[in-house]
Amino acid sequence: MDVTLTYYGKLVEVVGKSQELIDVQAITLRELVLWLENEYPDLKKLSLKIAQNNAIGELEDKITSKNIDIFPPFSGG
Amino acid sequence: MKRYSRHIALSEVGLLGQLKISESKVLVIGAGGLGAPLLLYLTAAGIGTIGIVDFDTVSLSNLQRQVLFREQDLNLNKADIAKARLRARNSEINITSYPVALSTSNALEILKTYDIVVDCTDNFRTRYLINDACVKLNKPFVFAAIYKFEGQLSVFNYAGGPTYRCLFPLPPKAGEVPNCEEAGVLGVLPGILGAYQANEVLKIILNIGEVLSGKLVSINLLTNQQKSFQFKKNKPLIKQVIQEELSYIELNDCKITHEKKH
Repeated sequence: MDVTLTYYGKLVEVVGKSQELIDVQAITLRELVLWLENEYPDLKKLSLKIAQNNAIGELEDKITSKNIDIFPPFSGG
Repeated sequence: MKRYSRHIALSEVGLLGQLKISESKVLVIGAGGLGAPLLLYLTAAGIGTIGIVDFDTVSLSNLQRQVLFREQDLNLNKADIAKARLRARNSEINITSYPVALSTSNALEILKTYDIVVDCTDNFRTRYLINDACVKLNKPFVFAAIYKFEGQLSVFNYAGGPTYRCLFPLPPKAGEVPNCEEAGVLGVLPGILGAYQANEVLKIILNIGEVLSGKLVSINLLTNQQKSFQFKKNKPLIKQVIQEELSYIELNDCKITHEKKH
């Protein structure tokens, strides 16, 4: 399945792009995280949240959307 | 009340709504990029009591975005000088400055007399402390945080809604997430997010519209895109925060984030 990943904040710099279209083999968000960590080892060190269908998902959730948002906490004020 | 005639003219506010605003007590933690516009609007709106917590002093690089301050304010305490600047704009309200760092030993004491807390801090230690103190005292807190051209906005612990820890249970490791000093920031970004925070404060007080509880809004100024993400309450985690001492929780956070295998 083709899925568009959108990155936010510092993650854009870590992966080197703000968006990418991937053909995922992953069934769950956990499998997607493993794919991400393999593709971008620097992501392993970072706190991040994954959202689909405008809701933040749990790792065991199945991927059901073609658009997935991945974001870190922000610090600045 | 003539000062507030444009509020009173709104059927959603009216005289009763303006009285609610004048009876409300709002604590702003951090008088920096987010705090400056927020404080200007809360003062203009006639919030009855405003508390300002900031231990820091005004520096030259603050003036690019912290629009409350002037060149003559350099090196003065932000909470104290903010109070003076706001006093000149509205002499009818109470303003209290707390020129101290919020800590596990003073947080509950400072927060307890306020109805709403606004998180305008630039660091995770204080943000988690605000979260935990608000959970213990059962107070809503209006959150924003920024990164370069992007912002995050939400209202936590509102009417039994989820908290910051329900979103991010533990602080990231020190140095993992850069602040404005390290990453840089477009000056107008905290202006926009701080104004959004003021809007949420007024919605809570007036009980109008839809308070941004249980949702994180992500704003990107370069694309003008806004997205909203729902998230769930983590009841066991909230229960834990209620049961433990603030100092214990902070120590535990610190231990766990240092032990994270990286």
